[in-house]
Amino acid sequence: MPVLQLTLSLGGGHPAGWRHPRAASPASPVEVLTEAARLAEDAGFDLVALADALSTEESGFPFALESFSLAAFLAARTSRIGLAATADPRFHAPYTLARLSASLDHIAHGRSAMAVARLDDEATAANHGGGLAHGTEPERAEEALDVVTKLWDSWEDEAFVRDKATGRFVDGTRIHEVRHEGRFHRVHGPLNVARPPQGWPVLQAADGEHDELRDLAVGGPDGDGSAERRLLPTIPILGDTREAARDAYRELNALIELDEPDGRGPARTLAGVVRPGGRNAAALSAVAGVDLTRHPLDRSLGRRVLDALAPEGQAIVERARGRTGLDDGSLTLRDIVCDFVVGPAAFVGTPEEFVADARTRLAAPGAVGLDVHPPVLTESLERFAAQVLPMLRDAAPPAGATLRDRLGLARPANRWAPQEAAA
Amino acid sequence: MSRQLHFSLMFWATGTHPAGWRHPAAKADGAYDPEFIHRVTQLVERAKFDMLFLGDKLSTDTSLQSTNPAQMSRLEPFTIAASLAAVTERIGIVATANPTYYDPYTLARLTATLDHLSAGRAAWNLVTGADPHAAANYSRDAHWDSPRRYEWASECLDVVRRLWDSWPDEPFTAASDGTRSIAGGAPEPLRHRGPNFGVAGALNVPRPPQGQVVLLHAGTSEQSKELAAREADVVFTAQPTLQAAQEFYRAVKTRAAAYGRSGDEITIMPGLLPIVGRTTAEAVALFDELNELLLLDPERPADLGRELADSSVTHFRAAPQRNLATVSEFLGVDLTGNPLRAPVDPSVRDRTHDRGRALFDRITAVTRRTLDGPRRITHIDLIHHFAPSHALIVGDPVEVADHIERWFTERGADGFNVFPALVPGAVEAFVELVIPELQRRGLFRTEYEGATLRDHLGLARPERAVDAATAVRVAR
Repeated sequence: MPVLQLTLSLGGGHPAGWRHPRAASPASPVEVLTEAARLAEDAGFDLVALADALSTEESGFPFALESFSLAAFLAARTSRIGLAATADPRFHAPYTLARLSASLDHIAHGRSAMAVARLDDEATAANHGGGLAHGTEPERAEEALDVVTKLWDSWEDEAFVRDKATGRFVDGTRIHEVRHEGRFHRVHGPLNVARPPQGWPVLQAADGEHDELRDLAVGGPDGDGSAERRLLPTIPILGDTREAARDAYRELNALIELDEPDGRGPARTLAGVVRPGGRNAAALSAVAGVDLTRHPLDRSLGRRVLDALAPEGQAIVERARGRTGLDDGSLTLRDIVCDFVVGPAAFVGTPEEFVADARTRLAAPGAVGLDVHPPVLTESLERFAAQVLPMLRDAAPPAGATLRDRLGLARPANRWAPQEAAA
Repeated sequence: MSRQLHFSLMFWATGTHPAGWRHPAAKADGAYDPEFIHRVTQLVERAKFDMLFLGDKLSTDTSLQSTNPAQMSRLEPFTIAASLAAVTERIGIVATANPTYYDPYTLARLTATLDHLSAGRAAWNLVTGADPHAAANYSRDAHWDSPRRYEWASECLDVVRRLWDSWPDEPFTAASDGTRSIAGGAPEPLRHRGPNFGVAGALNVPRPPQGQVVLLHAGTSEQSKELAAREADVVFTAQPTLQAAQEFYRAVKTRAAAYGRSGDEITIMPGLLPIVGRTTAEAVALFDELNELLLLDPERPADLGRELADSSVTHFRAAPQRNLATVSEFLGVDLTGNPLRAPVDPSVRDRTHDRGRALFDRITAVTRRTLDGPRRITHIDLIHHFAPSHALIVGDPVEVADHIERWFTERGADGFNVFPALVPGAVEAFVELVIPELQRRGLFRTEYEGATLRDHLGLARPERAVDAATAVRVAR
């Protein structure tokens, strides 16, 4: 049975989901997020990943609650579902990150995960000038993660004695200094939080585009580096008929606010910096191989331009055609840019078509499940739960005590524990 | 409405008495039992406490197991605070954070998020010191001195306050067809460039429900008193006597006036360690019982540190010793070799100095034992009471309420941060025995009047500060 993850972002899984008239009001973030997490739990999702950012520039929607706090809150409002908090270790002190993640795992009774993200370099770094030392080097994240796992291990599971009769509270021989001295970090340790119930929270790695989540392989206990366990991202845009789904998709795309071609957003949009994957014809041009910035947005491209596109550009147009159902004569440049902004994860069709497509994709090596980004909260999540989930899963998922149990992942041995304890 | 007391519960899962966790009425493993922490918080919420206080340290030390096991290992405050927000409705939740080891963007997110999760019940307790070993966990060579820490903390707080104000209270607007937009477009970026921090953009959390999260501060240095007078909504302090508390109270409120603030805008809450029994004798017996559970240190120096040598951890400090050698050194009178249960010779009081005589007075105040009465002070009493602490009151409900009322009406306190010796036993005793007595006297609320922590403290919700740096870009 596929692993099912709900990626929960207040703005919805579609870039303009929050703008939709039927979207749950983002002005009540706690209510909206709690309702979605409970709905996902009742529907049988294995875990909910809480999207997060350290700037307003990460997506088309500017707000995200701090995800470790949100996950701790949701742990008290749910009872079975896994809860993944998001962190970019380049912008956290490892001691703080280890405390947050270990505490969350205690609070959630072993239902937690940490999704390691690479956030927008430019915008995030600009919010973290001075202060603690930060930088955008990927090696910084690797070293920080290494320190975090050492800190998680710094208290052995048996470190607490708590013997009222003798007054012995801890066994000092089972508490370990970390003494890490690396290129970016010096951390003495030990951590001041007990080892997480899962040993280590489940580790996930997300790439920079947030379109692929997989268990961390490098140095982690969840894989040996070759056997990746990948969740396939999907934005399900569903309708009772394919035509209805396409209508819904076009309706949503019409709400996307595009950046000006020079990268400066109009006053009402939020994207304030130029970055790869921007929301405009310039960003599309860079991929399509033809300068489209002077083409009127509300006109179709015409045969000459279409023929001049690089293969990648042709594929993008083909994808937009398929999802919108528009032919070349009515498909405008705006339609293509919007489809490009939505990205490769969207699926437009009926629930039956979605399931058939998902089954095909899940047959690929390493693909263990789906990472579902409902385009409009809470409506699309309800629809997915009611119309798709029953077809994807033929039995209720096993309700394991911890997220590792539920996902079939072993509890990591403690690097400092005696061999017999690790066996 | 007459002036009302304010109460906070200092939550140390294993109690604030070093041996509190060993008592039969204590839970020894509560630090990692979230449902237990929920229950204790709900208990003081039912008693209408203003807030639950979550302290913090950024390092650990196994020697804390004999002096303060609750601080050795515990949950990170913002995460357990968020969990508490989910299971309570009215009580304020205080999370401690030392800005020396945070970035302002992260701190603004943690505090603003807690305020959203709790619907306006969050407070940030800003501390900077008392944790010199944290530097070694944060890639620093040394613990900074107080002026450096406060310079950093002041800039950090300034940036955090502006980040909280990044967005208008209603950031969204809807067109006639229901399509949502950001009201007025993106906010003007912060563009902060200071000596310690550079923060370019707006916060990615909506403005906190309280506008500005309630700020708590505790500290003893000059810089700390300035920061408290200028910025704090609540000041925590350790004051052993009423006279000292009154001086502190006056000083902070006078300083606040220099910043154009009314004294009423600052709630001063000294720590209070109440040992309550149904009768005085019961309270004294409980306190004796707790002290009997303290582990003493060996007298001979060669034996010191045996416990530490047992540890694989080598950099830990030795804790202050609980033995007659330490007491003798303090008093200037050699008492080593005396049987611990034997009464202390009354002449010792004359042979020691004023501070030594104050120790005898303190012991008499809490144990009701004297050097020459029918119930005598023994040598072990000296060991047990040697370490000074927050104001300690041992007594029946009326005696404890009298103490609280006196400090309150004589302007040594606006309220108290209650340190329960053992959890949950001492929390239950205070809530069941003392709170009703204070309510009968009209000194403490019987219902919450408002929904937010600012409401409990009688503080107005601040308007968003819109200046050149934080102004909303008006739609063109």
